Amino acid sequence: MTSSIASPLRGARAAALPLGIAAALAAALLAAPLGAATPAPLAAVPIDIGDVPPALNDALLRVANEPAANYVLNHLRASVIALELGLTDRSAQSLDIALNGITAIYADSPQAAKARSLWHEEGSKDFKGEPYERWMAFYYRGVLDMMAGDWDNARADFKAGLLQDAFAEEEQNRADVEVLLYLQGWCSQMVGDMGTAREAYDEAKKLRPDLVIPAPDANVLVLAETGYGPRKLGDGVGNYELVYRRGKRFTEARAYMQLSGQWQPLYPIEDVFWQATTRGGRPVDRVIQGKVAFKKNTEAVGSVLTGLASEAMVLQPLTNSRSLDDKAAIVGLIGVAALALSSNTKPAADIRFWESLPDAIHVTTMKADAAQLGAVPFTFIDANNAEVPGLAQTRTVIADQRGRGLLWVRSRYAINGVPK
Amino acid sequence: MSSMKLILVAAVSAVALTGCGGQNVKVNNSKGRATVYEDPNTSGRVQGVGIESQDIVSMTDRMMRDLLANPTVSNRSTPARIIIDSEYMMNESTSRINKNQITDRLRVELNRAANGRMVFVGRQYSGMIESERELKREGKVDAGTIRTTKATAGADFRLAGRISSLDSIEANSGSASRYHQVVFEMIDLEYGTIVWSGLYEFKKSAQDDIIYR
Repeated sequence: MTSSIASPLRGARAAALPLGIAAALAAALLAAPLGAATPAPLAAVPIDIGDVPPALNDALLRVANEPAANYVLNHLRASVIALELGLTDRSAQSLDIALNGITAIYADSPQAAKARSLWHEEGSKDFKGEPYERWMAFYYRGVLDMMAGDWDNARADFKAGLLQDAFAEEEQNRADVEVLLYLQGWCSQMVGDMGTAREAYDEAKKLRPDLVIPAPDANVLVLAETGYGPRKLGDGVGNYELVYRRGKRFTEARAYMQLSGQWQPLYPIEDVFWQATTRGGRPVDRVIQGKVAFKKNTEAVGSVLTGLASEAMVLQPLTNSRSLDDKAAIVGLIGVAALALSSNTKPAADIRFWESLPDAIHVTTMKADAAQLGAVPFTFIDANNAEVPGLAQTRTVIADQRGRGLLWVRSRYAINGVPK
Repeated sequence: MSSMKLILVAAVSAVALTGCGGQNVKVNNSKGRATVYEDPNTSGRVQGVGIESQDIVSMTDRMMRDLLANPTVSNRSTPARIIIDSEYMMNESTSRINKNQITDRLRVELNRAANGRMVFVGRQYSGMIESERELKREGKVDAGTIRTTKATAGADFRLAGRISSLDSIEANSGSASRYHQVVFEMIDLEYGTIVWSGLYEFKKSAQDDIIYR
């Protein structure tokens, strides 16, 4: 960023130039932020909102009405709501659109170039989410595929999701999403590919040695999601630093299900907040730090120059120097220009986030006749082993023709609203 | 120019610049883009490292030519009966794909090009066929105009295969590459032998913008 920071300083040397040229120079320096255009949208796929429940209707209206940069994010939000409502086709439609955006490669993209520029916040870029949001998108696509009995594609989803976690700064935190490894194994087991299943389970066990591998004859998977997912906040000068906080307004930590009158715990396999926070630094953070440096330096230069000009003007009557008066005015003008550059620099990090994610994911498997299981009761307990009131519910298995089933439950539903 | 005028100019500039630059317009006022037809043989506007339309077109075209050149399958005195569907096509790759897109295109193109040298059994439509046969046998509808057979067609060969991939990621540069290998095999449904094999492979790599790494 050195060359950028030097720009206003070069302007200071123009003090000897005639006033008109200096003013034109200052105006030219500031032309970039003034000329900034609204970001170009992603190629939007028209969606038919049709007759849908109000919660999903609101989510789809956000897709239609909010800036195109939020297109993927709003489809992700809509997909979870549709999934909660049991509208799996609609959920899949939104997720497919979102995953198209997530997996698209942005090379030589004017939209990305704008987000890198001094005059635009990082949040002006098309949302693709941080790695934890991207792999969660694949996770939900996999859940939908499992519900549809498409085990091949579910496994592909979980594999692709794991790749999204491969860009962590610290090597030990790369591709370490246990739930995706476990589900890869489960899908392989469901198609009878036990060798591949064992490999995936072994990988998962390396990360969680206490993980219980599904029995060879298990045919029903139970997935329970608890709490609210990580929140993104901006910290530091101009909110340039992206920080994560655990979701709030929930206390449940474990999930239990009742089978044959007995309450059985589910295994807490994934902490989504932990995954969000162990990603390490992002390459784009260095770009943002450059913006912050530019903002600070132009502010400092502007303050010094305007201060000098002010002092000189105060002293002018004492010296009675016409020349001093003119030079002070030019320095002051350039100082103001530098301050304007500083105030137009946008170093804020992108803090848009997918609010409807869970805090944690719990799993178990069993051998059962899906048709005979009926409505399975679930409840959720907090860290003190006390049942959290108002969360108990029943869910039924969704099974394919061969009896391979999935029980999917959440302690908190996005259709009821999530804390921002 | 008096200092008062200069100060005035500076002040006006500052106010104007701050005012103009400080707004972050949050309105989607794009003009949009009219619908355009794109050639499925070419890369689309949105690209990744997964399987895309041009890959499906290329691989099915090549497999079709290869199969037509195989005498065991395509040049028998009595045309071979073949099932081409996705039932035994496994996807072990990282790419999500509707396998029917591959097998449907291959079957359709083969059926058109074979010109009677191969007969394709629509096993994926067996439910529809059985229900119509049942109606005919029960006398609820007449026998139609073609013929009556004791049973539906058994097949001589069936397509099987596997889609697999190998991914590599370079965390520092944000580069990703994916190698796909798609194996097609024609299985003798009596003897269990593989009478034809075809392989299609491709590799794609890309580097995302730094703001997404």
